[in-house]
Amino acid sequence: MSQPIRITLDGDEIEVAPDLPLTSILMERAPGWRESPRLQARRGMFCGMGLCFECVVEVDGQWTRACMERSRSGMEIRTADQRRSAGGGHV
Amino acid sequence: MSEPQTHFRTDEGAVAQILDCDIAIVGAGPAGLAAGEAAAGTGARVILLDTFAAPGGQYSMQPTQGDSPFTDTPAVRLAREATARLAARGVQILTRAEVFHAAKRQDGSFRLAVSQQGAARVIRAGAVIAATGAMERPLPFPGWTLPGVIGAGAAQRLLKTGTGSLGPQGKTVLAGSGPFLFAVAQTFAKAGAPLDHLVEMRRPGVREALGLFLAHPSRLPEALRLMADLKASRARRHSGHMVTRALGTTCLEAVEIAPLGPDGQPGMAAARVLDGVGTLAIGYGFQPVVDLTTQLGADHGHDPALGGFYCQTGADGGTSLAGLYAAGETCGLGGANPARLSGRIAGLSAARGLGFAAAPDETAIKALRRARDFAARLAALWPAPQRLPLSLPPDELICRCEDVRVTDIRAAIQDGAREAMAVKLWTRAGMGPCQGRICGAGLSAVLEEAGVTAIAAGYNRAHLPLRPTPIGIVRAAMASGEWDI
Repeated sequence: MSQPIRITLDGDEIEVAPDLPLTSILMERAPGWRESPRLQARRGMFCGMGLCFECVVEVDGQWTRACMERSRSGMEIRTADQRRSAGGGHV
Repeated sequence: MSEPQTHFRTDEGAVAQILDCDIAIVGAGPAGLAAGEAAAGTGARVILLDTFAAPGGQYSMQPTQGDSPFTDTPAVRLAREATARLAARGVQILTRAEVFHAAKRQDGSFRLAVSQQGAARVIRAGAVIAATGAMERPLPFPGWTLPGVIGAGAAQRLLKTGTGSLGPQGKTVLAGSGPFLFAVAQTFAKAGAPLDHLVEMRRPGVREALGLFLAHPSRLPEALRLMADLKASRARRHSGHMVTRALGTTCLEAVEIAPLGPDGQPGMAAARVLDGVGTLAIGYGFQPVVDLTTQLGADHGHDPALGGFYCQTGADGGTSLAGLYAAGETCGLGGANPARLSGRIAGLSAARGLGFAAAPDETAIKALRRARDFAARLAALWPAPQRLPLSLPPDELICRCEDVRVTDIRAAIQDGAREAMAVKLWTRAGMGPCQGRICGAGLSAVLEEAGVTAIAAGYNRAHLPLRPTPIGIVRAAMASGEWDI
């Protein structure tokens, strides 16, 4: 296995393998990482292949599909958990 | 209030890069790779595009971790080697590239608008091959939106491309219908990931299976291997059962299953709950991805055995639109073998259509017929459920993007919406980022309840943008002057 890298998940620095699909990281640590638009219900990965957009998450300030994105050293991920605690909006 | 869907990344003032080729191939799975090799072999200039970071599609998806047990499987090698051959032939391979708009110009040529990692590209092509693959055909059931409920294909993708673990604590349940479940169970076994329960609607009898393998004996070893790996996974097998509810508050916690009666309905008196479940991977089969071919206006047919609406093609892979070819699952489900063969056929035909010397490959045409026959017989053993397997409570969601409930859809139908398009306009189901790809099967099943057949309900013809795309990129591509007005 390659050297782990450091990323930030909801403000916490964590160590993960490089190049890992973000769904792999989020399924383990924050399985309901998104909120639905009307009901504010928790959602997570569903199709896992870029078509449903249920797994959208904020990475370095941009919305992206967690299933299509891979871990890079220094990346900052923000889920609904942090937006909720910060009183922010939803995706 | 729902927020705008295109605020992923905006690069104001960006300019689209124009790329020229003879043949553009959309999708680098087994079909697209074979099409690319065949077309490039005739001397045609080829651009091959794929949404993912590496060619391979779903069948040959490439692991991301060096220590993955999937780094050297035959399927993974197939794509790796094909990609190397294509690169050696000068085929331009664009990965992480998503087509969001396509048009045929009056001069007969095509333009594809592509979003690639924050950049806009417009591809000029003499011909296009749609090898866009298939996706899960999700059928809604109570609790299906809970985090932890994922597609069977999603589970496989995560095991193959991730660390080999699904992540959530708790037991894992694999459920649904069809032979793909065995392939997923095999992936669990190979990844060394625990699989606790397999819940399958139907288990074909020995006599049925015998008929299939007498006609196609060469496929027997593969099937026996699947069955051996299923056993090795040690999953408890619940045949003739279905999942009737996913239970949990904010995340999946338990799964309710029930045996199916002779009428095909679950016998709720005998339902029971599997506790402590972290992941439910569920799949009732697949459907062709036809957004590119419907946008371009090619003719589509409907056949439940082929996954619903599929792009119609002739023996040469040509669609009803001259210059547009389709290969692989886009033309109806069949698996990797028909995909490879139809890819080769379409690649040669597209090149021939542009004047390159390319004789039809009669062997491939014959082999395709045989591969399609196997796929059809296999599909017949597990007919895809067309109706909702169980009646949904009014508050259950059909459209996950816009949070549209089954009761909203039933009300729209009662008020006179008799087509998928009308339901979409009345309820917003299908207007979210997934563009109806995820809710399509559920919506069509609710229309079926009201007596509207899938064919009468029709499909939502895809339109710009085929996939949510940053507005700056859409603007850059559309301002390129490459489009007929």
